[in-house]
Amino acid sequence: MTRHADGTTSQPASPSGWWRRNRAWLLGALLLGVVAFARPYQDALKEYQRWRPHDPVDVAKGEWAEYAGARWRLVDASLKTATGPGSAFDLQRLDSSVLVLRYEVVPDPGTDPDKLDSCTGRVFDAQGREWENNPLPLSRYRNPQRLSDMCGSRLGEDFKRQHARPGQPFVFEHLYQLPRSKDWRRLQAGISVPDKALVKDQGSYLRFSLQ
Amino acid sequence: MSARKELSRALRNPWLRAAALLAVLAVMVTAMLGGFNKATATTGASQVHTYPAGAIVDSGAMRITALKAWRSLRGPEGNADPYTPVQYLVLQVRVDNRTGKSNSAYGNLQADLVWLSRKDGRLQEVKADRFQRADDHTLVDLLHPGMPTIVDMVWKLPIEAELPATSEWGVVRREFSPKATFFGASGWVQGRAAAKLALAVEDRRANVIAP
Amino acid sequence: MSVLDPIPLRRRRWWGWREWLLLLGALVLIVLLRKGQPDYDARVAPLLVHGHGLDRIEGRNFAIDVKGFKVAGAYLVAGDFSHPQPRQLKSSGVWLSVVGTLEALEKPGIISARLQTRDGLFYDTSGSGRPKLDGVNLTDRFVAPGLPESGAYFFELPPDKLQGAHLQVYWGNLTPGLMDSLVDIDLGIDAARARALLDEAEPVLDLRK
Repeated sequence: MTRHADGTTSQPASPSGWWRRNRAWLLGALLLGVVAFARPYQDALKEYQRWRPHDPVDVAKGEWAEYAGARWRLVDASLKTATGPGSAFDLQRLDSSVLVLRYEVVPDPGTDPDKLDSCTGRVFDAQGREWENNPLPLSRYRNPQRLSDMCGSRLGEDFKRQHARPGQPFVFEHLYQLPRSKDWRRLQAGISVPDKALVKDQGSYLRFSLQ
Repeated sequence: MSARKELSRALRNPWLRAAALLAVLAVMVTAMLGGFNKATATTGASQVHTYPAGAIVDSGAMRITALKAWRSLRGPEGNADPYTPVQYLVLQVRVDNRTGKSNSAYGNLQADLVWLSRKDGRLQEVKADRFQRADDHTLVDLLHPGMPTIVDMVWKLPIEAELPATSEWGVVRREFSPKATFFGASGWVQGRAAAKLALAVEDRRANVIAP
Repeated sequence: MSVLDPIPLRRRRWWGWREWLLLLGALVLIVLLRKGQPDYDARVAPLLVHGHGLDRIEGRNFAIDVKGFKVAGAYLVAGDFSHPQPRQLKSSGVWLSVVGTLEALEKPGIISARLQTRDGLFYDTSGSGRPKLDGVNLTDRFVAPGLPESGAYFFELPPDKLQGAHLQVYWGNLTPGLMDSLVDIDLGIDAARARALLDEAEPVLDLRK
């Protein structure tokens, strides 16, 4: 280091020395640059995943599972093939069948059963194709026992709403219109409750096997 | 150091002096440009030109020609409300959608062509309740670009409502803006009042068969 | 001093005219880069999948197989509850019906269509009630995987816009989703084809079954 007349200092410099002398800064800049891209990407990915089903609670047939402040069980799964015009399902197309899944839910003592009404159901196959419960073509079907597709209440005989009660089992049914050739036993059924108070991680859902 | 010393030091600082001068200049210029005046509450409805039936009014998003207006106890298709007796005020207009995309009648047309009703001496802007095609009286859902359509705009009013012999409607401008939303998406944005339409309201309440 | 002597650093003040120049250059660069950035509409624009004529094209989660198209002056449809007599659906332009089959590939939902004319105007389908033909009108038709839906999309457009019209098909029932796929099918209507379509068009096409 040499000191000059006007008070400034200087160091004898060489081009290769600059890289060596500043390697700490350069390394730091590189790391920060990587973090500046990687962190927001990870955050965005996590946010995207939060709303997509990615955390299944697997349930075997007949077993109970705890989810969304209640216990759930798949009671029955059956395929109905007489679904054409004139049948109870009154479907226009003749190349589909209706899968009927009957569930039982017992809300926990602290759960408001009406919050379960927002539940949605789907069935999916190994390739990831999905069908949603009670689609528009099945809207004309009326269950003889007045079972509803909502998980917390149904319309009773006197047109008054019957609510599920904590500690008491409540039965509901999800219907799916599937291609006739579909092997329904290899499907899996899912139930999600979009209420953030009951299900903190919105990516978690119940997954029932139908076999 | 003491506050007084700091202040005297600051006053002597040339940079701070320049900044203070700039601030004073900015306030003066703002005042001269009218920035401190009281904001006017009117939309300018009293300052627009009034057009009669048959004149073409350009609102930017649409070209509107008011054809006729009438009041009746039946809708344009001839039906009366069976449960509540109401009065219908109908304005028949030819609408030409100039936005380049199909637009719902409940979109630009409902928002930009309003009935100016006088209630307690104050002018109120009332949106139409429904829109029917003049030829077959079916409900208009979309107005397509470059295809002028004759639309019956219907206002449902209480049966005892009093209407003057001539009624007024307001047309609001709508301009295309390349940055219409916060994110920078483009769109057609409503602006100020563009014109007024004044038409004689034909009294068809005595008609028994045709509205 | 020879050229082999090392150049001394830090001979001058840390902020001089060179630094002002660098700052100005950086600001100019920032402004130019910002101006060169695509605007919001370009950034979220749908991904086009091009098709031509009568063909099966796949987008994300859907496929459309266009079988044909036809022009008519008006449609005669059956009456309904509020209007029992058969009625004519007229238009200030002509009616174009595009017949095809829709498939949902992964998830169920609604597939919508619109026409883009060669001068850049967009014509949506006229609504599921116009004409109201259950099982035929594809507007707002629910499609599930493994269960293809056949029918037609119905459009109203001015007769001079038939030439060069493109059929655009997309998932959902509003507008093409941001950055989602948008199938753009050139229907192959040149001037001669447009004239032929208009000549063959029936003034009133009976759509009653």
